[in-house]
Parts: sequence; structure tokens; C-alpha cells
Amino acid sequence: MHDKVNGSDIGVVLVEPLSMVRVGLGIWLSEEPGITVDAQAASADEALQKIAAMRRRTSGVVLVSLGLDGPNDAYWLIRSLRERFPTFVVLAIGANAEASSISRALFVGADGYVDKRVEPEEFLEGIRKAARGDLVVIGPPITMLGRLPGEIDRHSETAGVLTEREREVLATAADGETTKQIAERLGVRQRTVTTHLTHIYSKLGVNGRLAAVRAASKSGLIARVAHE
Amino acid sequence: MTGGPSAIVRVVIADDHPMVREIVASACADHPGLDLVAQASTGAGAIAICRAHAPDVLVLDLALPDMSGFDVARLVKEENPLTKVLVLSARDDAEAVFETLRVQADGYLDKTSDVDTITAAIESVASGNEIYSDEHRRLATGKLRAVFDLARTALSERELEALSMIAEGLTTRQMATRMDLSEDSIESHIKGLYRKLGVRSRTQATARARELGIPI
Repeated sequence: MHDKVNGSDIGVVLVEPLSMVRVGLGIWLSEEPGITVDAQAASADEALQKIAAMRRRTSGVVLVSLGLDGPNDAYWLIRSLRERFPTFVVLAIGANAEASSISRALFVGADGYVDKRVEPEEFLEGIRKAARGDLVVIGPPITMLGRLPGEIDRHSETAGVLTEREREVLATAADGETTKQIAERLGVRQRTVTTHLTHIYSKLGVNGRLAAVRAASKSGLIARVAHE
Repeated sequence: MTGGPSAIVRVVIADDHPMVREIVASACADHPGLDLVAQASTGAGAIAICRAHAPDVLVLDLALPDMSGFDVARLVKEENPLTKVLVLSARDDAEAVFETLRVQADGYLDKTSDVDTITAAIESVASGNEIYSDEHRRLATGKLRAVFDLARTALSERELEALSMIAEGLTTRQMATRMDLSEDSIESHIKGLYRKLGVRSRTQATARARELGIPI
């Protein structure tokens, strides 16, 4: 059935923890001409694994349910997708989401929001528009667009905070370890450590390891370094 | 709209052009369901009238002589949450449409709209609909994207100021004077902002500033 992946086919990856919703949405989307469901996932980790494993397609539309929670929640996934798979369009999907949730989704990099409560044709049109490169907010009244920027300040504060992993890397770096030693300690590749450090410097607005450690321990992002 | 479906829609027009006020007045006169309660030719007048009369619909010109139409809309909406605001504008750019949405106006009409269009729009917003065209939506979502892209750069106030000046074409020395900082300090801000934007030159920074919709 998936053999004819023609150019105009939109590949969708569906990430939804509620099984019945995922199954139902998956079936319905599969039946829609012009849409192919490339993968389905019930969690953020599963979604990233499946997308990474996709060979046939390197772009498409990822539908991320705002219902994904836990440490790797919807916002974590949206941000990860934007960093790791920038060729994919990411849409947050929700049910009557608040302005603050939609705003946060857009802030961490979503290309739009589609409410699950709209009519099927509107939902599909949202996916198609997003696939063409437009930012979409489908479901809420148009005046919602005007409320979203007002919520941004709240998210900016959390944007400066490092992820779990980044904190680990930086805390290990604070012990004076070389990149190689950090990699060994954390069980990852050196290149991964370098990438984390690049993100950390960018988030903290610094140029090097020492400055990063200082900045992070000063704002309590990592435990205070003893010899400071 | 209070009362049942046959209740009269009470309208206020705020526009400094007598012709436009006349058009809205005749629209209301010809239509049994619309009642023009008062007219204003200034923003202050519009606010005072809305305070006194709490109309169902305020038809508001964005280009008033004494204050920004956006501020009028925002204030009226705050003081009279039930009043619908229908904006009349000669502008059709993304900034105007987006700002209209920011102040939560219920509709956006071109100033040159004819009587029938205006009448229909007044009735429509009074019933709770929003009057924005597909093109307006397209402009607004484009602007929204730029707003979030800018927020994501996490540029500080200073860096934003510096970027705006770079886009203006100021030299480091001129920027130092304007911002009352040393040239070294300016260079440092510039380095920081280049890194955050992922650019390497003033030309690239200027292009990026434009994409992000930074006012120059």
C-alpha cells in the first residue's frame, strides 16, 4: 500500500499516548488520499526512534499530542524534533488547549496547532497548509492569534534552563574532565558531548567551558562548584 | 447583544472623516435592526462615549487624530468586554492586522467598504462572529511566526537595540554614542548577537533583522 510514495504524498508521523485516539486517527489518516501514515508512536522516545529509523522519507508532518507528559513531554519532543529533524514540520494537536499551551508549543518550535475537535476536513486542511510551510492555528477563533505573543515571556524564562542531559554534561565538565572523559563517564560519544556543550554555550550566552560552568553554578543550574 | 434575536444592535462610530461617519449613519438609518447611538471623531471621544453608552458594536477608525486606534480598541475592550469592536482601516499590511488581533478586535474591514458590506459586518460581529478574511489570517500567521522566531533568538534588550541600529546602517562609533557605551562594549554586544542569530556580518544581520520583523 505504501509502495507508491509519490512526490505529492504527505507523510505523517502520529504521536499520541491515548491508544484509541492514536489508532482511530491513524486509520482515518491512512484512508485519506494524499496522506500516508509513516509511523505511529505512543511516547516521545518511541517517536524519535521511529523517525530516526525512517529511510524512505526525510521529511513530513509530525503530529504531537499535547497530552504527552512526563519528563519527555510534548514540548520536549517538539524541541527535540526541531533540533534533530529540522526538515520535518511539527504540529501540536490538542483539545481546547489554552493560549499558554499553544504559545509554548510555538515557542519551542512547533509550526502550528490543530485542535482535535475541528471537523475532519479542517483538520486535514491544517496538515496540508502546514506541509506547504504555513504556520497554522486551527480550531481556536482567529483572535487567539493575538493572545499568543503575550504568553511568551513566561516561556523565555524556561528556555534558559538546561535539559537534564545538558546539566549532567556541564556538571561533569565542572569537575575538570576532558571531553573524552565526560563521554566515557556518561557513556556517550565524544561528538555527542561536543554537541551538548555547543547548546549549553548558546543557551547561557557564553564562549567556553569555564564561563559556562561559572554562569550555570551562579544561577543554580548546576550545584555550586566548590573551588569557585 | 442583549435580549432576543430581534433586539436592536446599538452602534457607535468613531472616525475623523465625516464621509465615513455619514456612511455608517445611513447604514444604521436604513436598517431597522441597527441603531446609531453616537458618533465620535477622536479616540478620547470614542472612549468616553463607550463608557457612557456601552454600545453593542464600536466601528473604529484606526487612524484617529489624537491617539492610536489600537489603544482605543484595547481600552474599550477592557472597560466593556461585551462591546464588539469592528476596525476600519486603510492599511492592509501584516503589522496592522496583527496588532488588531493583539487588541482582540472582532473584525477588520477596509475603509473603502460599501454600505452593504459594513451593515452586514456590524450585524455579524454583533452576533458573535469574527470578520477577518483568509488573507488577513495568512498575514497574521506569517507575522506570528516572525514574533516567535524573534523570541527564540533570546536577544537581550541591548542586543535588540544594537541589531536595530545595525539594520539602520549605523557604524560602531555611532552606535556607541547612541547607546552611551564604549565601542568595545558595542563590539561585544554585536558578537553576542551574531552568535545568537547565527550570522557573520552586518549584511547578514540586517537581512535576519528584516526576516524577524524588527522595526528599524
